[in-house]
Amino acid sequence: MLFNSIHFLVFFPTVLLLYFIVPHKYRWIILLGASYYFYMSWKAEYVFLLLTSTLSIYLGAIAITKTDKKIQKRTIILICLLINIGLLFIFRYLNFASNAIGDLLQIISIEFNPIELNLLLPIGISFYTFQAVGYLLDVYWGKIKPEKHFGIFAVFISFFPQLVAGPIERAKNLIPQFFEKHKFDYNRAIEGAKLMLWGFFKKLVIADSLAIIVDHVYSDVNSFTAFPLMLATLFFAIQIYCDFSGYTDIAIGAAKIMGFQLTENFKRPYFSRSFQAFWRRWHITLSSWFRDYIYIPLGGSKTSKPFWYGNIMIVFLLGGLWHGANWTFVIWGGLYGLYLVAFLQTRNIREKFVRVTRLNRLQNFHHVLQVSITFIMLVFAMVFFRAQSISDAIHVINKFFNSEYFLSSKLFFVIKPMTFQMVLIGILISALIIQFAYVFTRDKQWKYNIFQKITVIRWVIYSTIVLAIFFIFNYLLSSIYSRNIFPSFSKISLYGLQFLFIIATLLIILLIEFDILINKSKNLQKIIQEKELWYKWKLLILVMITLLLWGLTLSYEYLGITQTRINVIFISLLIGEVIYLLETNIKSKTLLSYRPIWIRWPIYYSIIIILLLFGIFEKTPFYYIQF
Amino acid sequence: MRKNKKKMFTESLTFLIILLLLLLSLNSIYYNTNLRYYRPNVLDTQLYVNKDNIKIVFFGDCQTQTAINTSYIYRSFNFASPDENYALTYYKLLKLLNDGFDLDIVVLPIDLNAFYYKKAKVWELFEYLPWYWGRYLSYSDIYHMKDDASFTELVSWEIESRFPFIGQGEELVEFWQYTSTERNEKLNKDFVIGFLVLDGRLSSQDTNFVTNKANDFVKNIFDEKSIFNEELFLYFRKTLDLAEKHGLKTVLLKSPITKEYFDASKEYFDIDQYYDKIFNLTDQYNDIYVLDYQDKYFGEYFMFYDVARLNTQGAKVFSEQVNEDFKKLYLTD
Repeated sequence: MLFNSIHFLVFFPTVLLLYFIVPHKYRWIILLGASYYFYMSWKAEYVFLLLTSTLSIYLGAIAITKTDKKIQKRTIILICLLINIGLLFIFRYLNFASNAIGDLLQIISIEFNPIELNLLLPIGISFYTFQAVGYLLDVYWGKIKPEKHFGIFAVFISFFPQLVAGPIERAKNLIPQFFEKHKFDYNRAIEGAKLMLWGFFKKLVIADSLAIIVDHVYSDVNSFTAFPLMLATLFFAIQIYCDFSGYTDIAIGAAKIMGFQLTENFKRPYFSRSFQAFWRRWHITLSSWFRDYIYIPLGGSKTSKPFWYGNIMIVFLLGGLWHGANWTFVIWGGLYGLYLVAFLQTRNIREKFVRVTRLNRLQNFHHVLQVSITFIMLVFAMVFFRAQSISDAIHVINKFFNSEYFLSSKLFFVIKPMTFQMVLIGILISALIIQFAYVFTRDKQWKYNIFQKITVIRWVIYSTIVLAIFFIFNYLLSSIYSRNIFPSFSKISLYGLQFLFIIATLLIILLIEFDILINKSKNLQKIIQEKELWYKWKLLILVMITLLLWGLTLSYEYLGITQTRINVIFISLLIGEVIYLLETNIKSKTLLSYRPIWIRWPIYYSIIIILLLFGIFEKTPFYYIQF
Repeated sequence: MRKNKKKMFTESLTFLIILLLLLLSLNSIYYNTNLRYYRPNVLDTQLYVNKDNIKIVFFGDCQTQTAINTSYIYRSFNFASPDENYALTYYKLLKLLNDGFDLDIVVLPIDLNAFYYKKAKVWELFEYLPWYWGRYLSYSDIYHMKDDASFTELVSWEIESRFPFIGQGEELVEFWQYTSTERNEKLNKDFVIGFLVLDGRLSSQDTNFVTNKANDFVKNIFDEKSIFNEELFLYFRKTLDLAEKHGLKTVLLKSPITKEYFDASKEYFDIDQYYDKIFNLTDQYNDIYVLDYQDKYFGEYFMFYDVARLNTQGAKVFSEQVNEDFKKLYLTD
């Protein structure tokens, strides 16, 4: 069953109702039944895999504690790992491994017929196998005691919100929660529902819309020039984030409504200033799994440098393989590993460079620079993640670095005139007027100025000016073309100029609005404290990049998408960015919660309406479910 | 605690009521700006506006839709729709009769592809435009038609038919790009009380070209597939029962096709046997008339849009002929 299906829409409220009606003692039965139903509704036969995994790990963990002999413990671990990793290998990696062996043997002229099993990949197998193996190793290392209640243990392995795409939970966090008595808590339920709504928005509106472009471009990389390929790769980075973190939000939200606290899986990873930080913020539960169960047992960083770097590479290559049975994923993982190694190796040089150039004195600029470099390198490696084959990926990268290809991109020749541009020009003028008034009237009275105090009045003024200017500009532009007033101006330069103005305008408007927002709210100030300026700039930078991309995407025809859908993507991204910074992760409280109902509710309504109108309800599976 | 519960209840209820109102408004906007202009909807509206005048209703798929120009047939209405099968026809006729239409004649198609496999995917056709078919079908009908309908499928059907705006944001936005004049022009071109205008003409320069087209067409619809679906035949029977029960005269219509299409079809099935099966059933009913134009316009390529459908010119000639034949049979004055 997918979260983005009608099936789930019926399933989840039913489970909730049953869960809170049934006495605490029997709730695990509801959860177990629901989880198995959830899993079996996709392909019932594969339940045996889940059962095998559950049973083997349950028995293995108990058997480990029953013996004191190390050899026996190791034998048990080995058997359990063979069963679980073996199943994962057969269903996921056998064809790949067999082909790889075949290719290798062919080099030394040995005939080998690769095994081709035509098996459908069981959804979530990588997730629950890792969760189960993690539990077993924790028991083996004595970090936790084995769970004796088979029912509860089975729920732990199959808990439906996180069964098919994580987060990969630790027994220490999740199992005790099944014993806790959860009463229905309205505020918690609202928080959970909001998280779910936000997850659906990210997946159905942003990720699935972007997927149209990405799939279109990457399905035939030979037909596209550098710019569309870059754009598609960048969009893929956003798509994959929104897809996966969307799933996680839904999972965490659903669990939260029932009273469970799942582990946070993403902490604004694209704002990481280094690769190390990125892996602490991206797919946190998987990264920490690799750290705790592979990297550290291998010796981690407490070994000689070559071994340390070797450990890093092993972990990242395995991480790549975990994401997919294809060489492209292995190279992707390898690249990330190399990034990290290079980052560690060059630490001293970089620190020296920062000192010499005095970048450390420009803290925010330095911060932005670090984030940008990290992000660009991450996105670059994603070419391998998304490309269908290594040759496709190389072709894409070749185009990136070939100026001939780049300059022939449509970007430089087509910027399409669009109605919304006119509206934005209107905003530009109004913003300039407002800014003018703002600068010249900024005195003590300003704080009590009705303009600043009453949002409605301010926006009525904005809208009136915008509408008036919209009509005037529409008329002016048509006059320019029909009467050829400025023959020296080509259409491109005119629209280019227009576009630059648009970006400047929106920045100004946002600056004013954000400034007013922050100054007006005492609660807001309390939360943001000294960080307020940084958040403001962060938001502005994000918005600026988004608008820039929006402008660059105006020649949308070659991206295989409609103009409306492009606009939806960018409006969603803008909403996303504002909510991203305002709503999440700023200490434990959400900023939006401090706003009055008449601000909060319209935002929620807008999200729901955009979701319903523009969500792609074609039951597109979550990208990560296939892992 | 009690105060909290009260607050929770009031707040949730208010939020949901406002949300519902917003969704209903959006639905209404979408219906009035977009769906109102959808072909089936316009067809319904035209039919119901002319309710008191209409005595003859033509049912069928795009073959009938393009062949019958009802401006040449007195007090008639072409209610055919693309890919329509007998399950759809049955429910359409049922609704008309329940809504008090005082019909005299119902015209049903018995073309070569009237019962072929694609049309047998009854449920899939219903899934297309659920908001439209929701008017014609009750839940018991759906249960009856789709034995394996799960609860979630029914919920999905309900949501899609009640809230058609879901997922249609692009369409809703793009609507504003058309002016009302553009929309009306488009509609006037497309509609002459249900008749679909096809202006193209089948090339008569090269007979091989037509033969190849016919072969491709037939291969596409008949190849290795059943051409006679029993479930649809059952709905055909039900439609005949319904017409007889309400005292309607039934005309079975074989629309004109090209010789190439006819010959190509013979390669796939025995056409005589096909019609024997149909007539064995229809012989059991009173007031049944058969009008056969299948081979009447063989070689008259100028009348055809493609191998199976007439163009505007052909539709004019054919509709006048049908009108004449109706008079000859004393079906109309």
